[in-house]
Amino acid sequence: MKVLDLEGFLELSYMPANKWENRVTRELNIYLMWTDGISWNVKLFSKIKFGQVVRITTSEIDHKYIESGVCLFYPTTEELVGPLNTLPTKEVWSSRIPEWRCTTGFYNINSQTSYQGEIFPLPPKASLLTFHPFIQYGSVDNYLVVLNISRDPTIKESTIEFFNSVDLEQRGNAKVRTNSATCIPLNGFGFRPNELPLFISPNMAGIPFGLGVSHDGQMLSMEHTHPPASFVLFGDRNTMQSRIKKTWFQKAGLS
Amino acid sequence: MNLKSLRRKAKYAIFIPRRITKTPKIPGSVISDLFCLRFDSDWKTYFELLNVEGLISGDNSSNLRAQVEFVFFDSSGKKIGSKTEKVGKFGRQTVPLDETSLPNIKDASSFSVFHKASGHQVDLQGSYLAERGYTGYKKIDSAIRGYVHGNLDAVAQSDQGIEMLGNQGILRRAYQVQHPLRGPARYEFFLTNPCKRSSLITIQTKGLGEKWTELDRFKLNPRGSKLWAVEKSSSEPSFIRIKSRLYLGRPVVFRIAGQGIDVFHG
Repeated sequence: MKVLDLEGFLELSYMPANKWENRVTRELNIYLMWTDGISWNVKLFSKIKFGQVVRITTSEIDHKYIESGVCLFYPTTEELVGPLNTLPTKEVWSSRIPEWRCTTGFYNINSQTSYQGEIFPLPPKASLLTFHPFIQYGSVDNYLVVLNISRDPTIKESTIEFFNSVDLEQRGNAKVRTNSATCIPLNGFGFRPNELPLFISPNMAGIPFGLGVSHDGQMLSMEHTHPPASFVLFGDRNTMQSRIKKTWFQKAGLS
Repeated sequence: MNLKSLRRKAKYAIFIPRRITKTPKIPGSVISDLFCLRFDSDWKTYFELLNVEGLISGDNSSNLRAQVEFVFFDSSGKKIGSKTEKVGKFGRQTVPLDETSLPNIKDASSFSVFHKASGHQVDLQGSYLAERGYTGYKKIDSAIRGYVHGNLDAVAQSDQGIEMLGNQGILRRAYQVQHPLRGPARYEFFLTNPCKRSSLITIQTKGLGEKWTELDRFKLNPRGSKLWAVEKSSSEPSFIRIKSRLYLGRPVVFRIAGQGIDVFHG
């Protein structure tokens, strides 16, 4: 991802997180994939052998690959020829427990912020509902970064609505797009330290991140916000997620 | 079933025959992570307290009947204190974990947050209410906090006490931190033991093309925790792996470079 004046980075270790699954050890092709809104374009970016590490930054790739704020790096044993009408479905695993993940995030000259990430294409007919409990105050700019990747290469615009979760007062909205990383400044929506912001996008799924950038640029902070299912464990979490979403959609007048 | 599939199933049966965490034995238990607590002259910890029951039921308005209990543990896993807080007064309450939470907070290494039922009957569909929320860490000289969410369903609480939910196997296995270490930076790895038995932890390192060498070895009691640190001067990547019988010996990683801290799951 690339947002604001921050560069994005991705660092992939081709080593299994656990030593017993060891699902694949063959040399992999790493394809750079980006959408132009019509097709998924494909370019062989590098190869990686078992035991190696590859670090990729947005400062070293052409801007055209990341106009939507995001491009993909797909490790595979297969050879791909683009353009593609849909993202490939074959998954290559180094491990499943836990999932094989890269370290990805943003950096500037002073600092970096990371998370362990991989992304699976999101369903086309889905929604997003999340609470953001870690907006920071003081000398900091807060942003919501909404990441969406869909198999379909088209870029569709949707709306995300902002509420105070206590009284359901609507604080505004913003546009978000599929197959994009959309960065929305949050400081202007007037969320106070004791308020819990609620974000709802009725027509588009996404992975929401809270991003903080200190005014002096000395520190960045990023973490994803939870989906509603994270409030419970075990049992029928899917039903719980659906029920929590339905309840809040109705309360917000978005059902 | 072909040989490859059989081999894979056999590996799962040997290394991870059960779920990473156990379902609580007592119906109505509440679950919490074992969160890292950093409190000294250099570090401060903040917890973002939410009305989880209200968020589940769809009512996050004021509800003073709901409470949570912060339970603090030292590095050996011993409970050293607790504090009850009301929830629902605000949508979000940033709780600084300092001497106002626990006079001997300097002795604490981890904490859990257990939500108490408000009296409202919320049908959880066989699920258990869980606190997997957000902890913010700040150094004295850092401008803002670094946040990380709970990711280890470590402990459950009921009227019968605290139950450890982590599983561990018979064989030791390695968990490789998926983040390659690059300097100059100081790395600190926070490890906990969510199991009811103690676990021997071995920390190993290697550079690209090198063999694993042991850096440290220590025992973690149930609920015990340790912040293990290493200085990394070179920008060349190196790796850390954690050998133990824990199903998932995944640490929280603090990367400290200049005035910035970067905290994430390893």
